[in-house]
Amino acid sequence: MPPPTVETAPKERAADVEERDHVEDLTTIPEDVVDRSTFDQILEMDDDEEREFSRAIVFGFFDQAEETFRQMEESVKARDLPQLSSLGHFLKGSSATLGLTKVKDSCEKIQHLGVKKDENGTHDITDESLCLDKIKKTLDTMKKDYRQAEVHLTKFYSEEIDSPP
Amino acid sequence: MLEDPSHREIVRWSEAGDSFIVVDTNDFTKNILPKHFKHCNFASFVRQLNKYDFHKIRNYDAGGGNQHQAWEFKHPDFQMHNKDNLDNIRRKAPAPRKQQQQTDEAGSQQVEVLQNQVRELSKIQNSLESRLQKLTNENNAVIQELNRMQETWQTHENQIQAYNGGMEKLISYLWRLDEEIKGLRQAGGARTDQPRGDGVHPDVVSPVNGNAVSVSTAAPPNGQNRSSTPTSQAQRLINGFTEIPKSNPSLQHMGQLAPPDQVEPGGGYDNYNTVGRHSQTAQRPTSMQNGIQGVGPDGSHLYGMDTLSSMGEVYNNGQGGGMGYAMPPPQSVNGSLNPPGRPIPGRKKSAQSAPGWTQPPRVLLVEDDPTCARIGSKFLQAAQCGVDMANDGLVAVNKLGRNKYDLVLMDIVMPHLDGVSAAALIRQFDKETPIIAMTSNIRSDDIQTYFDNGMNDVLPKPFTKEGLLKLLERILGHLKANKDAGQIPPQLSFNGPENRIIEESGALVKAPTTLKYSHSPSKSPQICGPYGRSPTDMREDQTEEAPTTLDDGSYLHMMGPYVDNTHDQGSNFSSPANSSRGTRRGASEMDDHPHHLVGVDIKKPRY
Repeated sequence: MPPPTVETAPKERAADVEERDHVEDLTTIPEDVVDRSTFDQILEMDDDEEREFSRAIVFGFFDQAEETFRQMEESVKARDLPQLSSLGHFLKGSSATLGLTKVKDSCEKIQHLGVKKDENGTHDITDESLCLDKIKKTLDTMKKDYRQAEVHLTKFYSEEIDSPP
Repeated sequence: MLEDPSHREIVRWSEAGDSFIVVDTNDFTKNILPKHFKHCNFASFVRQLNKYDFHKIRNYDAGGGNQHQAWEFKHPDFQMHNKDNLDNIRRKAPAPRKQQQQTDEAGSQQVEVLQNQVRELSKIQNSLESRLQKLTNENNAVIQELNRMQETWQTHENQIQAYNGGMEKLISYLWRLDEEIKGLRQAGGARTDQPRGDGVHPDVVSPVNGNAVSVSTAAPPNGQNRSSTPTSQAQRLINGFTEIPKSNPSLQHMGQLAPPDQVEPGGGYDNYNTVGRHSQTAQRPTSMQNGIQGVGPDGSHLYGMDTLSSMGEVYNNGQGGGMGYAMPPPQSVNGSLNPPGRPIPGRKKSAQSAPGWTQPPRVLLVEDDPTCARIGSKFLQAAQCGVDMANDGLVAVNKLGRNKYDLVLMDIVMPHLDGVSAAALIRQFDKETPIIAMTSNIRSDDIQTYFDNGMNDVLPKPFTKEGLLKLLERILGHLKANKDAGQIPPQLSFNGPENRIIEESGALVKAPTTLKYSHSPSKSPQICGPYGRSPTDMREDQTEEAPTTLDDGSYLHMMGPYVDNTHDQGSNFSSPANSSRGTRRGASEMDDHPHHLVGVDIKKPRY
């Protein structure tokens, strides 16, 4: 897979979204992108208007996700299925905690595929290449979903900065 | 000159001719000396004579009156008629030489003195040295002695450690043995448990009386409790399973539904906790009393009793379950106890985050994922817990070896050492600290693995604030302040039928923990009673009920967001086999409960 193109394409989309949405608050974020109730829990923890805590969490997660994507791509190249499963599990926890449901689902699929199970983890898959292919596709989907969430969340936090209540 | 007769009266040879006599020193000085001697001074003449080794012999008595002026000088070689010897008359060796000899002599004497001194000094030095040597030797001996002692001490310490290790193994072995035995007995049904529980409890309960007496306000209710608890049939219905009492006197007791076979012990503990530990205030004992009294006569009051025991006087006069419903949850914490999806009217966000501990619980959060760790620690801090972090199992084990925690939240999948292994290791040296598996893998076999490795409960991931707060209340209720004591039972009543599912799932999934630590509404058989069965049914059908009432839905509330994914394949974890296993396991742990309480509460060794 060509990582550069995968990286740049979503960012362009991200720019589009930003232009389109002039006012971003959580209600405009689709539920399947960022789960409101889950994310609200984190926002509740903010005790200042700058949302210092949740901001740090979210942007920390962005770094974590980017790094994990990078490692996943390396692991795909190296055909390291166990490592992919482990990375999927790793990112699943934090994406689920933030309410990035789609990303979490993709992570879970990769976690299953990495141990040669189908996406739901119920049936065995004997063909490693098949697993790897599915992981590649899932990874692409996950990146797109992630970019979408990233755009919305970035927007949300920049709005928070520009116009504090 | 001496032979010159003209000078005869002035200077001449002596009679013997071996000396000469200066008869009249005055005339000699005046007349003779100037001719031969440059100094016209008799004294210097004499000095010169002396220098040439002439010696004054004696005053020569010549001519009577001038005796005093007559000097006779003599030199061995200065003789009349013998001029050859004159060459021998030399000026004596210069005086300095002679003086030098004297100084040499004095110097040598001084040297001798000095030498003596040196000798003495060196002697002293030698003695000092030898003494120093002796001291050094002694010192060395002492040091060696110390080293030996240190070695001995070390050896002893090692022996003690080895011994402790052995003891630990022995204890864990005994523990397992005990479990097995209990498991075997358990197979026979619930009845076996009860006697065992009775046997154990007196140890714990008896101190209660002592405490009760010392607490004046608490004494009367306690007495009633004591008398009613063992005798009344209703004891089985009492939900009195409480949190582990800790040393804090103002700790609150949490009313709890216990499985029937645990009721009696639970009641005992309730009393103990409430009276002995928590109830410096009059309110607590009162509420306890009420709770017990309400329970006594009629099993159908179970519901009310639960409420009463923790809610206090309001429920005292109530008539059973109806009161529970009538009582809206006044405290906001209730919201956190609410099952997911069931909104609570009185819920307040802020209070929800602050359970109101009597002392901040110390929580070790073991989590390798930074995002989860940050959020988790923030939630815990919001719940006013002291949070320590570990990013893998190894760190966690080390920290537990050094520090004391009230609770461990343990991720399962971690690098270096996973949570299950870490829990198993921790259980080698710490049987007390509650360890909660924090994971998205909540299939029944996973959960069984957690419990088998000494973990006490499961917090499904991604955890929610409510889930976390519920867990904290369940596990750390003993650290809560009194004012919140009454919240849980009303909450239960509030939940109505939904409650049942949760409790069932609790009984299945959390059996060991709830028995040990919690007040949580997870004791299924009992809960079922008020809702679906008559008290008599309950009594007759206590243990068997747990398995039968379990269904697939029991996991729903455990799984949160993962429910959908896991539920399909999850039917196996609700299978009757698993259910009954969980229940039996839970029941078998009941006997451990008193030990545990004792251990935690009064720091008494379990064995």
